[in-house]
Formats: sequence, C-alpha cells, structure tokens
Amino acid sequence: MNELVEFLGVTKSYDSKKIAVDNVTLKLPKGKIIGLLGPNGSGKTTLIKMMNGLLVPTSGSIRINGVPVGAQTKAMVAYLPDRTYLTGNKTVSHILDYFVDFYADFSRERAEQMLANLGIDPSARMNSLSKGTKEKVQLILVMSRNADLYVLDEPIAGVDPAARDYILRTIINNYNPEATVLISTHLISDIEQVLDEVVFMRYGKLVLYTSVDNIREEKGKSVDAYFREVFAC
Amino acid sequence: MLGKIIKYEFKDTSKICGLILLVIAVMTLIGALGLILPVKFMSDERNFSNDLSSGLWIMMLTMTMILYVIMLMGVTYGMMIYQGVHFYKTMYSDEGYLTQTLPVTKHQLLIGKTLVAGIWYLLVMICVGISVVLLVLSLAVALNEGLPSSSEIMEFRQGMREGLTMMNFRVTRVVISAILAALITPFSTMLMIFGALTIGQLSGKYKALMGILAYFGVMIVNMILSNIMQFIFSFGSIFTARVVEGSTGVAGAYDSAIIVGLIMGGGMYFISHYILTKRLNME
Repeated sequence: MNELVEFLGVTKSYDSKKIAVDNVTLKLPKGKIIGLLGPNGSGKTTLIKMMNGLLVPTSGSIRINGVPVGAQTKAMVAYLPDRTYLTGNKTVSHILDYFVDFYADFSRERAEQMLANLGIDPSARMNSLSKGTKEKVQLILVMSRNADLYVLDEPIAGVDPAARDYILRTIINNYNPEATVLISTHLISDIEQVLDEVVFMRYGKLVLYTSVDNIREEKGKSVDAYFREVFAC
Repeated sequence: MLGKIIKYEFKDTSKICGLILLVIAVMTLIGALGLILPVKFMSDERNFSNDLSSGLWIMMLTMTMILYVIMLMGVTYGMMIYQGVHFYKTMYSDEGYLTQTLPVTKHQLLIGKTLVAGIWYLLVMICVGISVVLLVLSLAVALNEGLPSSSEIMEFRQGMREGLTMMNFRVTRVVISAILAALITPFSTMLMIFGALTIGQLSGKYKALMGILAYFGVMIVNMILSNIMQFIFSFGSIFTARVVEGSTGVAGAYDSAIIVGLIMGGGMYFISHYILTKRLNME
C-alpha cells in the first residue's frame, strides 16, 4: 500500500450556506512533495486542519497510514500551522524539551544544529523574538521530526525572499525521504521547483490532482502559469 | 503521556499560582499584625483613655480586616479566573494549535489540566483555611498575651466533647464528609469552568464571551441541583427520624456538596470530552 493519506467524501460546512470543503475524495502517496494550491478561501487550510484534528469533518473520513485522525496519527504528522503558537516567556530550549518529551521522532540535535545555523540563541525567550524568527523556530521544530507526513500551511507567506529560500532549503534538506510533504501556498512560483505533485482546490472542491511533470509535458506550462490559467478571474 | 501533560501544566502555572499563595501568606501577616497591634494598644488602660488614638486603632483594625477578607476572596476568585484563562489560552487560542495536535488523547488532556488546576485551587483553599486559623490564634495571643495553656485546651476539648455527645453529634462522620467535599469541590469547580469554556466553542463567533455566559448557566444549574439535594437530605432526615442526631444537618450539607460536585464535575467532563472529540472547531 503506497497511500499515506486518504480523504473519503470529506465535507466541512460551518452552516448550510458556508461549505468550506465540499466532498473531497483524494489519496496522497508516500515519499512525495505535494503542493496544495488554490486561491484564498479555497478550503486548503480547512482541509489541513481536519487532517490534524483541529476541525471535525461534517461528513466523510480521513485516514493517515490507514488510521483515523486521532492521537495515533498526531504522532505521525509534523504540522506547521499558518499562525504562531509559540507565545509567552518560555525559552527556545524549554520548547525543545517539550518537543523531546512529546514526540518520540523529534531530534534535539538536529534542532540545535538548525538554530545554530540561524544564529538563534536557545536561551532566548519567545516574547523577545521577532515574528519572523518565531516562524523559523516553529519550522525548525517541525522539520526536526522524523515524521511520516509533514503538513506545512503557508510556510513562506509573510517572509522576505531570503527567508523563503532558507525555509525551502530547510524543508528539502531535512525531511524524511520516505515521508510525504504537503505544502499549502498561493506563492506557487517560489515553491514550484521542489514539488512532485500538485492538488488544485477552488471553492472547497478538488479541481485537479496531478504530477508537476504532467503539467509541464501535457500543458507545456509551468505550474504557476497553469494555475493562473485555471484560476483566472 | 498524562504524566508529561501534568509536568508541563505545573511548570506553566507554578509562577502565577505560587504568587497567589505568597499573597495569602503576606495578607495573613498583615492581618495578624493589624489585629494584634490595635488589641494590644487598646488593652492598655493608659491608652484607652485617649479617645482619638483608640478611635484610630479601631479604624485601622476594621480596615485591615475588611482588606483581609477582600484579599482572601480576591485570591480565591483570582485563582479560578487564572485557571480559566490559562485553559482557554492553551486549548482554544493560537497556543491550542500546539496543544490540540499533541499525540495525546482528549481524556489525557482534560484529566491532566483538571488535576493540576484542581490541585492549585485545593492548595489555595487549604492556605486560606490556615490563614484564618492563624488570624484567630493571633487574636488569642493578643487578648491573653500568650497561646492558650494545655489545661485550657483540654478544658475546651472536654466542653466540646460533652456538648457534642449531648447533641448526639457524630464527629467522625462529619469530618469524613467534610474532607471528601473539600477534596471533590476544587476539581468539580475547575471542570465546570473548563466545561463552560468548551461549550462556548460551539458558538460561531464570540467564543470566549459565550464561554463566560455558559459558565453563568452552569452556575445556575449547580445552584438548582444544590438546593434540590439540600431539600432531599433535610426532608429525608425527618422521615428517617434521624433529626435527633445533631450531625445530620451538617453532614447532609457536605454530602449534598459531594453529590452535586460529582454530578456537575462528571457531567461537564463528558460534555467537554464530547465537544473536543466530535465538535472541535479551531477556526
């Protein structure tokens, strides 16, 4: 079995008028870097939150490694949300202790190495760090895990181009090659070169799931150009 | 994993909760001094003749006692509010994105958080009790210029024993009920706060506000249930002819607190668990 994630008729509606994800059925394989692409409000984040148990689907089911979303799947998934959860006056080192205690696949050594590369002091308190540095610490925490699935929600949004390069390098150099990386973004041109496959979403529906090579060969276009064509206003 | 949750909950809350306990200690000291100094001054006949200064001492005594009572109430409610805010922040705000994605079950999360919050609240209750006892003792010291002698204590105990025997008062029964009620109440109180805040999550907007409103609703249910239980216990004692037993009323009050605590705490735990597993909505 090569499938890592299986969405089966997944729907999430907040009320009868607002359907965030509409009957999505999709199987994501192991060992791929997949872009979850779509304009704002297309349901990318909602889908990701359901994979991480932060939202409960209205109908349908999600399985990761054949297991329904729950405590067991959370041990397999390294999740980078679209917001900073590192607040207060805890030190970076305290957060590392926390991850070491809760995640069996977390490598403190790798995290400390990445922190050193970026010149982030492990004794620094979270409330003394800039927003950008907090985001980098959060990414380091996620990429220091040896997870089966990395789910990164808008990892390059709101950071400068140099930081984007660093983030993409961090993802490429640190993820477990057996694992799948799912990256949600609308900044396609920046991540296109690292993607194996793409999922297009619009109005909560699955529009397209194909490989990047397929788009280049069949459409003769880059993913970015094809995205602009599909989602032209 | 439960042990790890408890460990980090204690780490995260120890600073503020330790400060609250320190406030109780400082208030006890101020309260004791505010009680001893005026009583000592006024017990001196030479000073008592001075109306102005004795008036000032009485005012100081009154103000200190008012401040002491307000502060004790403040720390008790302060601990409840702090635990509620801490729960909300770590479960349903941005920090919740970390807490809710930990590889732990919802039972482990709820039990860990309730245990730690309940233990802190229990500690506050114990410290408030010790503070009041110390204040009464300091008053005794001020009035007698020393702690009561062992013969005085023996005499007091003997008198109490005779009085309680006459009333057919079962001390052990009351003490056991009181201890059980004191142990259950802090945890059920925390579960009611956490449960109400979790119910607030069902709202589309203004989740925190809805949580506070839900808490008032829970408090009303709690009050109604307490009154029903009190009625059952007092009404039941008439029919079982146990009214002659002096301890029945007191023990009944504690028993009803235990039952209400178990029903409300248990109910709110299962509601919270249901919402966390089936209706979690981290928008």
